[in-house]
Amino acid sequence: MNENDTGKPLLDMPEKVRLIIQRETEDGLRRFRAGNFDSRLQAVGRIRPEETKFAPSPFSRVWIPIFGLAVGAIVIISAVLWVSRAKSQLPAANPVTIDAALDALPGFRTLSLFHQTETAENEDFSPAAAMSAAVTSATRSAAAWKETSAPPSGNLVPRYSLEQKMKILFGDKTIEQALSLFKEKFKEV
Amino acid sequence: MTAPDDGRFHELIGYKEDVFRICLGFSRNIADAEDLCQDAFLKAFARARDLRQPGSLRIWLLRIARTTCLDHSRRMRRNPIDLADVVPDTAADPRSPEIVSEVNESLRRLKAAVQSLPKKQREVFVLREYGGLSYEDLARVLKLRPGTVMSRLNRARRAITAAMKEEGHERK
Repeated sequence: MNENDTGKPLLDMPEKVRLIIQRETEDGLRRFRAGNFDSRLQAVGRIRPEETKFAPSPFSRVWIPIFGLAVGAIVIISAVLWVSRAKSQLPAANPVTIDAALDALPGFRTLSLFHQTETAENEDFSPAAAMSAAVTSATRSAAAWKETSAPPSGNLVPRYSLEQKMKILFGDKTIEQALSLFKEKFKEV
Repeated sequence: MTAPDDGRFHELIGYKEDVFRICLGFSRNIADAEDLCQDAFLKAFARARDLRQPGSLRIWLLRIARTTCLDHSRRMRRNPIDLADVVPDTAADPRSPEIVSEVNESLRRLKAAVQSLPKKQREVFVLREYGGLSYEDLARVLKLRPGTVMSRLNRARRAITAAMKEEGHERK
């Protein structure tokens, strides 16, 4: 009889229980030996001695997938960054500057015409006068309006600097049209 | 899943009866034990490369068998053990029906008593009484001190003895 770590003597197994276990084990082993376990194991189809490849080690089972995922994530993020950067560097299909957009406004074209034909000698620029001239010109003739809706020629528009155009815009409701025009174009600019 | 090299394969297969006895202790009948034994070997072959100390192959294999059986016990624990589970086929037994009946009932009571043990006591009891492991091997398989192993074994034996007596009285 041994002693356990509590100092008490180790209890022996009752004989009856020992006999039950012994009988069960003998019956089981007899049947187990008759069953030809080796063949059964190989018949499962997954165990064949000739297939002597080893299962992957725990290191490769854990770290290879993690490494693969990390590389995949880096590649995807790099691709996204590259595409977004390349896209931002592409020139707009039809770049529009503020100056050109202002030139496209009807009020400035008529203003330019007015300025060219009637006040060419006047060197001083008055925003109020220019605005009234534009309004007058715009309301004078619808036909003239349509004629001036064509793209401006190089000689008419550059008479006003951008600063002058902005001064006119701030005193005119034309700014609403300008802003609505820019709304769609700003990103391209 | 594939087998390890031939040498290790045959060495592992050499412990099949040890594994079977342990599986029999944890399971309800011989057929279940055979299935568990097969599962344990399949797991062992799959993990054969992880084995760092080839000298402790037997201990390593018995550890796998123990884990496999405990997983199985956990799944089966909710179902009570009846006689048909423990002895599915009694027709071929040459002994008299009375003896067969008494033996089978004793076996059923023992199986029920083993299954009702706490896990820590059950594994020590099965590894010792069915597997025939020494205290030293028990301590190595369970990664415990020999004193702890003996203590648990003692409690398990007391519980089994009490359960068998109790059931015997109830039947009388």
